[in-house]
Amino acid sequence: MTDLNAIDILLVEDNPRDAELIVRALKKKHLANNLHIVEDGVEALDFLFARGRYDGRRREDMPKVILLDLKLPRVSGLEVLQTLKSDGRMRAIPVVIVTSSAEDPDVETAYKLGANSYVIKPVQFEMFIEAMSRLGDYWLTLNHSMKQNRD
Amino acid sequence: MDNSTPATRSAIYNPGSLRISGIYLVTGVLWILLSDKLAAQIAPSPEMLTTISIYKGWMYVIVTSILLYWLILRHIAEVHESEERLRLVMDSLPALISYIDTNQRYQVSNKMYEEWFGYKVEGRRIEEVLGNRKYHEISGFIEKTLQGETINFETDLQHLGQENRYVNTSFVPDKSTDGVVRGFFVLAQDITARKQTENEIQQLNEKLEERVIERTAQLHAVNRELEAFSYSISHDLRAPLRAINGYTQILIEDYKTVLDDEGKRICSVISAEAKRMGELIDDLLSFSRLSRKEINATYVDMKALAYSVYGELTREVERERIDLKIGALPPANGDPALLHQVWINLISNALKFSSKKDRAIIEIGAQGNNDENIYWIRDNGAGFDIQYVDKLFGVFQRLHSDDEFDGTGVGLAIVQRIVQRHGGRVWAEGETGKGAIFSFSLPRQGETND
Repeated sequence: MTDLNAIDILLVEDNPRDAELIVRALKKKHLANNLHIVEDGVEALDFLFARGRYDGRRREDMPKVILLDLKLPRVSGLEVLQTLKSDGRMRAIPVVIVTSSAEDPDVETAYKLGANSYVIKPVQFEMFIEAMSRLGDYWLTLNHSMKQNRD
Repeated sequence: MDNSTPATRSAIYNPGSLRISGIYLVTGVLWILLSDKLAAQIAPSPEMLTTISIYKGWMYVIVTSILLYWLILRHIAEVHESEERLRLVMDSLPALISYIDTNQRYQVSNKMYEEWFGYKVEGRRIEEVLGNRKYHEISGFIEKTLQGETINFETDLQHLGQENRYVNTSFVPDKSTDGVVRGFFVLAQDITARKQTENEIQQLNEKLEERVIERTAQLHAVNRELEAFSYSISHDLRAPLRAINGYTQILIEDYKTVLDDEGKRICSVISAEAKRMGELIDDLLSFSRLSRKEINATYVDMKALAYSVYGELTREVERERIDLKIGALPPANGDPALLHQVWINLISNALKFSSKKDRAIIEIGAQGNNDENIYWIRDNGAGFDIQYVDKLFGVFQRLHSDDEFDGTGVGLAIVQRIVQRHGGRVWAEGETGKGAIFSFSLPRQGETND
């Protein structure tokens, strides 16, 4: 059972197939050790703000990166993004939008709201793996997160 | 410009009076000359001469009186006749004609006034005849014309106290040679029928405008629906495709020990078909997006564009085996992004179909006439069977199998759609094995279809 206080990647994805493929891709690069998956926006916010189901979590322990899908039930990806980026502390966590949508208004809005990166899920699996690996590599290994600063 | 009226001129010189006094003069002179001679001859004595002279004198007065009476009577009859003719003309004209003096009183008026107002207006003041409200509306014009200006205006005028009719009215000042205004003429034509038609046309126009606005709103709504549709396709169809691809891959990777060669082949077929479906969706979406995109027409340097597209589509090493020739291409008036797409599709087709030749020869040129510019691109590649030329531009229509050449068959459909939206046409000629020429026309200067 992963320690919910030591999560590196928070994956917010409602489609179980996409979730499985993303995890598989990350596993290939050994980046999936401290991964937690939530299926909608409400759960994502509950996790990060340590409330509801995640009441017992330590709030200060934030993931190194959040992979966020846009099409989510209940609270949408963009709403989650907005909430996170308006919070003084949560704002520092890098958010990578991972979605099927290439439609321009979504991309623009995401960046306006403060997304750090926008990645489109490719149909071809090899490309998908490649994309996820690179993502994981960059945000977990190369990028110097705020958390690392404090550890 | 001579502003004086005939009345002015006749104050000094008048052919009529000249004639009468002329006849009188001549008669008088002749009588005096002849009668004196005659009297002198027939008179027996000087006393008789005196008496004859006296009677001659009386005779002269009586005869010339009768002559004058007769002359003047005839003259007056003539004048009356011409007045009558004038009045006949005035009364027969379907307009209000009158003369008004400086006291704003009607001096002369034609029959129309009686028909219009129901009574004779001569001697009455304008204010009386038109009523207070109407009089104050036009009093400004009346004042201006009494200052010497010719005025023309349209106004409504009550007819026989019941309906309102419309008249086109002119006020023409009557000026003497020294510029003094003595009154003015009124000419008013009934334009009620025309006004009605004008109103009807205006109403029709307004209704038309409303309908155009409605239809445009409907069109916008349809467009938005289409966009939402494309959007949902791009999300909803891709996700299952991704799953098909991905899980097939998992199968291959995780179960490779269990799968035999045939099993692996089947998996790769599944993946390939899923990939193909992805391409089809992408192409369909492009096609739909390009059909809906607004055309922002501007100056486009077609030669530079073609060169740049060629550069985009080829790598340095590939260009060694390609002979490219681009002639003088006239600039076009159109949407740069859309025309860019046209060149991409046409040039990539030329490259693709000549890819199996040792040396690919691609030529691009143009010719123009008064109405349009025709651009063409020729390649020495695989060509196509001219029998099926009609299918060439259909969506997803292909004349070559997948084994021969890659592609979904939507490229030319996109070219046709874009060119048509610019007001032009596309066509192609080709022969199997001998290459093909694709041509498209664009209207010259500023005409587009939408």
